[in-house]
Amino acid sequence: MRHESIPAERSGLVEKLDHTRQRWGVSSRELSYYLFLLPAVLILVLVNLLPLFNSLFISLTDYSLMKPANWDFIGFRNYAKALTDQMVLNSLFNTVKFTLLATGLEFSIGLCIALLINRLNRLANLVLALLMLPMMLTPIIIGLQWRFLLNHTTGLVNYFLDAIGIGRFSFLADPRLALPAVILADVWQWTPFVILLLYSGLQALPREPFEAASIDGANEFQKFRYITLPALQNTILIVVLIRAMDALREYDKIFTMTYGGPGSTTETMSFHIYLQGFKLFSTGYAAAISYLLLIITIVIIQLTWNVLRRGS
Amino acid sequence: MTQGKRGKLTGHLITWLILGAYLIFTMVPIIWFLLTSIKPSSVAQSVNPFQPFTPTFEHYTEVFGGANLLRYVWNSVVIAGVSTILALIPGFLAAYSFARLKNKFMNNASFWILSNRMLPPIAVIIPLYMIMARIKLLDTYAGMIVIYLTIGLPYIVWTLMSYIEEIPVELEEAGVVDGCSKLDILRYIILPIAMPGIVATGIFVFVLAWSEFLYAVIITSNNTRTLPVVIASFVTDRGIEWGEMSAAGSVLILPLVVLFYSVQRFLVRGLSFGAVKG
Repeated sequence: MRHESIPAERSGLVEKLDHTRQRWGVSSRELSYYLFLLPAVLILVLVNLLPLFNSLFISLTDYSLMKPANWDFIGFRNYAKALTDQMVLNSLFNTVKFTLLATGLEFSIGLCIALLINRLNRLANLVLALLMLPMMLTPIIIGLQWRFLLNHTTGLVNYFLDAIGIGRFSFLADPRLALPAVILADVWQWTPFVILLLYSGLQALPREPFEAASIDGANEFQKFRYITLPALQNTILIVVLIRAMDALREYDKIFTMTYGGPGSTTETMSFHIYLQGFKLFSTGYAAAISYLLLIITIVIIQLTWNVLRRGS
Repeated sequence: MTQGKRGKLTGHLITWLILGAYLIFTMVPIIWFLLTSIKPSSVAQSVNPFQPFTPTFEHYTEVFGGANLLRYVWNSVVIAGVSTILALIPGFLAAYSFARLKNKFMNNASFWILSNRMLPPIAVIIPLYMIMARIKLLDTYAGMIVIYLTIGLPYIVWTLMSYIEEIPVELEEAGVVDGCSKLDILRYIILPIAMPGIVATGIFVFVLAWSEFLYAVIITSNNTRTLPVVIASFVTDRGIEWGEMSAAGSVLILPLVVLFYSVQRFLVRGLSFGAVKG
């Protein structure tokens, strides 16, 4: 504990602040750093954290927007109901399916393309610039765009499938094809993200290990497996985790492409919660399901944290 | 490499074939979308996508005239623009703190800020809607702007933190020797150097806010409805007016394309939370 003498002239707030600061063992230099944090933290606490606590409370009630004045505290019954609800389990299944397939495809394709671009010298930047476009577009528009492309009669995709003899498909009306269609749109949108990050990672790799390996007679595949992959490990993990996390939250494309249908084959957890909360107005129940989604998300956040910490 | 000349040529050919295919896969949907917006309705809905046509801007005039698109564009500009600019200030301050002061508390705090970006918005929107209704901020610019602040903050904090870390501390120490206060250092030393990063991050966050849909569709109504919500509403049970829809959509994405290309270089850091320098 530092004991600085406080001049008699200082009074009021400044003295109090200084006193507290000393008691907490914070230097005056450090204090300003902590104060600078305050606005950002305050905003996030007010708009994100507090509502989450509110939501926890709501999830323990049977509150409904249809009868706002008449609600009861029902404890964990919403959670019990959610864990045995066919629709919720279906949405969980869809979410897992969507996340795994989308992330897996985006990673595989992204890695290939990033490796290929890495071979280019002058044209790399131009190719990269063109490829980045989908990432920056509004997800709503991407959903509508693919809805149009996959349209049974007027869609470009069906035109070509018909032309080469495979025939036409009602992608978004077919229960087996709807979720893959949404995954396709997601892959189209986010593979550039994977490419960009992996390419940056590849560019940052030092040349010496590769040159040494060449001298030792290693072929391309061996160099890739024993030098490139291990060196890229952290970047790969970050990319995969970010994509997985975002796939869990996917909503916009589903809204415009399928609205959860046909039936409920494209209802992910996020979308199901939306339907429960704002179409069926079962606010309490929706809040409970959203907490289940939060738990899954937190697990993944923890994974991300461990990776980030290990990396730095 | 022990590949002969022929092996190299094949390698190049395959590279370009695959890249070419992927490029086509990437660009065709966008080009198609833009083309549809200038096709007359009859052609846009026809079975033959390659039917020759004379370009028309009728969809754009319909969409701006009848659908009153300008008002929604304005709403989007105000909400996305103001929230971005307002988010940059606390974001910049916090980024500076995280960049300069490293201890366990700061590590955890910065990660907590990051975790906000990973939050599923649907989990927050349920209570937020009710809170906003109670304090009468539903469907107001102020309410929307406050919510949108949280979209940009995590990106801003982490990207700028990464940039500020690269500014040598000696510059600040020189400032202290000259008698600068913390705020002076921020304003006269850090700010000018970090400005390109700040502008780029601002543009990136603006694009995110501009495209945001979930918060907008629930919180906004007749007064503050934003562009994405309007465009999503073009989808009705009667069927979709593809011409109009693609025209409105093109209006939505064209600014994004322009903005995007201006900040390309800076993207990698923000997207990877500063983990990849790019």
